Amino acid sequence: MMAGVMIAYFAITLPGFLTVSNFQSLLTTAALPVIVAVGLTFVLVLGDFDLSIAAVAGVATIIFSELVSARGFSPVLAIVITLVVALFVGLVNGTLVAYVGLAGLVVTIGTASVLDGIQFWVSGSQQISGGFSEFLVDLARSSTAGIPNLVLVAGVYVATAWFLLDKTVLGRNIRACGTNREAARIAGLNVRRIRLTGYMIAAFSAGLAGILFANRQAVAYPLSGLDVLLPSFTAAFIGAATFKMGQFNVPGTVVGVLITTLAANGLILLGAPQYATYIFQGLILLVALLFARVVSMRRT
Amino acid sequence: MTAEPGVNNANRASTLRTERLVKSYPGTQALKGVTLELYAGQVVGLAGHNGAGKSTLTKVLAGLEQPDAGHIALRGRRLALKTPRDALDAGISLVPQPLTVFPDLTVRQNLAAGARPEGWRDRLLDLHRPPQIAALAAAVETFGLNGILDQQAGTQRPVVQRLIMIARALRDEPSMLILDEPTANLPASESSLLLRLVRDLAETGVGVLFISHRLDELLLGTERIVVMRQGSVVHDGPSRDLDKSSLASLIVGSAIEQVGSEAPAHKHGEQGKSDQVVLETNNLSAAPRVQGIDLKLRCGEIVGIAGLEGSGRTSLLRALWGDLRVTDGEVRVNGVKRSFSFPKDALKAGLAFVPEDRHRSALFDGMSVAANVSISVLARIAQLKLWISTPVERKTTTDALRTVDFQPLRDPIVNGISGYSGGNQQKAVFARGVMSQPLIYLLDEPTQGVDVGAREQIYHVIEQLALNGTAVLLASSEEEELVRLCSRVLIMRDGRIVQELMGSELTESQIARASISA
Repeated sequence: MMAGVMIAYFAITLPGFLTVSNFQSLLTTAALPVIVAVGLTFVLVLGDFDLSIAAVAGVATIIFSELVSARGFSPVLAIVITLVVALFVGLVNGTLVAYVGLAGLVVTIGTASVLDGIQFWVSGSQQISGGFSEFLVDLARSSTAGIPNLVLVAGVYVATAWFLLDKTVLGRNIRACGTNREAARIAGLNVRRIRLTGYMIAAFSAGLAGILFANRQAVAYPLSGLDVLLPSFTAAFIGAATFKMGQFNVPGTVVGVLITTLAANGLILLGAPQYATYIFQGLILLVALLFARVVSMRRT
Repeated sequence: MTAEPGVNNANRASTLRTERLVKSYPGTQALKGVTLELYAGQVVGLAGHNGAGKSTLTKVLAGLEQPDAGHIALRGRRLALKTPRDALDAGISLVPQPLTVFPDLTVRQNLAAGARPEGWRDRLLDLHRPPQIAALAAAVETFGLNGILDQQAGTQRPVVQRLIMIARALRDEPSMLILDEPTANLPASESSLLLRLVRDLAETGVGVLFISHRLDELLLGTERIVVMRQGSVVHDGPSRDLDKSSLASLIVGSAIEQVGSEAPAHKHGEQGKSDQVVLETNNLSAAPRVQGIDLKLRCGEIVGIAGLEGSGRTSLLRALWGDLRVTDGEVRVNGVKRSFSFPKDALKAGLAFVPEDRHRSALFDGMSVAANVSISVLARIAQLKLWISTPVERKTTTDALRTVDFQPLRDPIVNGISGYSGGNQQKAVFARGVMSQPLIYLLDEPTQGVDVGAREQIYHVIEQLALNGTAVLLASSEEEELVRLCSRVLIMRDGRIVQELMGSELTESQIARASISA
């Protein structure tokens, strides 16, 4: 409904809004945040938090770019190395939270700062450009049958994530741990390992998005990667508020990303100043939180 | 049933009077018209078995629960105790059973914590000021806490922590002090120290209601003893008129004894029985709650575990389930030595567990009936151990639910568990066990929080499990349940099995008597 109102408002006030090309650009903009937000959804379903996702995406962009551009690694090897780094970050986060018992919120603020520093370190605080694989850059920027390739990739990723969370043993175990950790342990689940897996899925998703981002831009600056932290949380909470009665879920998160992207896009087309975007992003997160709370209270 | 009041009451003003207090919870009437008078300067012991209504009475007195009927009056004035603060303001102070000092604060800070501030200085600085309230200073003196005021509270012995709690309660200068099992987990020497201090305290004019399971303590440490049974006061008189065995009889109740001995009906627990031992433990210990347990459980046998709260019933089951670290001894399943580090190990070895407190420890409230039933065996029913086939899950969970007589209203795959009654939710937890086709069921308070009708159905489920050859270990605080279902009952006290009751000895009163004292 919120999306409907927004689309209607923007369509009336903005002549360029309801065009195919604007929707294509909208979906393309949403594609990478969707991948990150869907990964975050797993952590949130588990009742945990991950504030390092944007930093993981950023470090993945920088490491991948540095490897192919300055060090001349083959793109395939660079992708593999970058994803392994991302998974390692997830392993560290998950171990500290699930096995050591530290607070996820604070742990991931810490790892995020470390990763931000690594971005400057690896890049020598310089812009990285040139030497990107033309094939991959072209792939990231072109379309197949009128659908941008990044949108296709995001679509496949979303479908996989939905299947994983809703149809597999792992997904059911994740849902159970998030619903009642004590009962999950007594029912015989390995709660710690399952929480660790959640952090690794989130980090992997952010790493993948970071690599795709590098190829789309074909240039990388430290700390200028995907701006996905706030929008991902907003999207997940919008998803929890609108779908499945207050529970985090993959389709809801996707809709949430589309709504936040739509709003940001509309604000830009309206010519709203930069500060309005920040204020709007913050407010929409708070509203989404509130709605998710109200919906889950009504359920019980 | 007000008997002759205690000693020298003629000279004493009645401090606190309860008048026909009634309190019901779904399924039970916890207080059935309790009338009680408590006097300044008198230590009154409150005794009673599990579920007699002692803790409900203390909760009502402390403003934690509201009575359905009846009232409380202090020096003739009726009180409306809507919150614990109201009770404190009226002069009634409860020292709860669990030790609740702030372990990282000093003794002094503990004594000051929560004090009502007088002026802005106190609001800002009270934690570091020495206690200035007269009653508290006196209590600190009496209890000999002066020397340790600046030591960390968490490092003190349990008896000292208890004294800190009592001293803290005295800060509000109560006229009535309620001590809920203050001697639980204290060694005998220290509990006698505590008793002496409590008597000294009463000398200063405070009325004390002293709750304990230890009979000799009640007899030695109190002036007057009130015994509750099934929500009513059944005895109220001077302690010197009682001895250990007469007190035990009062607590257990002779009426029950007759009912128990009249009903030696056949035990369902014996029908599916064979001689094959499926579960055996030797010197099983999980310190400190489980100490050297030896037990044997045969196919189709229902064996009960009785004991007071904290006797180790739950801990024993949790140790068998791999959820509590075993410190010594061994477990054998079908003669094979096993060690369970995690619940999944016990699950694999053929055990199933229905924990107490379903909502906290068993249910996944936002999930479907099917998901609640299949959770422990998902990998086994999944395709390639990875993804879940909805038709397979529907069929297997529906079959399991049928064996426990639970017919979900809609497709269990989409039907949420949260809308069902406690009895049906409990059956779903049983069905979770059925899914793994266990040899042994561990049941902890299986009829907790289910209504009377569902209770019968759950008894039937348990009997059916045993008839099919499953061995059942049933921990329960309800003697009636144990007598009804079990072929023998093990009595636990302080982490040990102290007695085994079977045959004609297996009556409600025998279980109760064996649980409270040697």
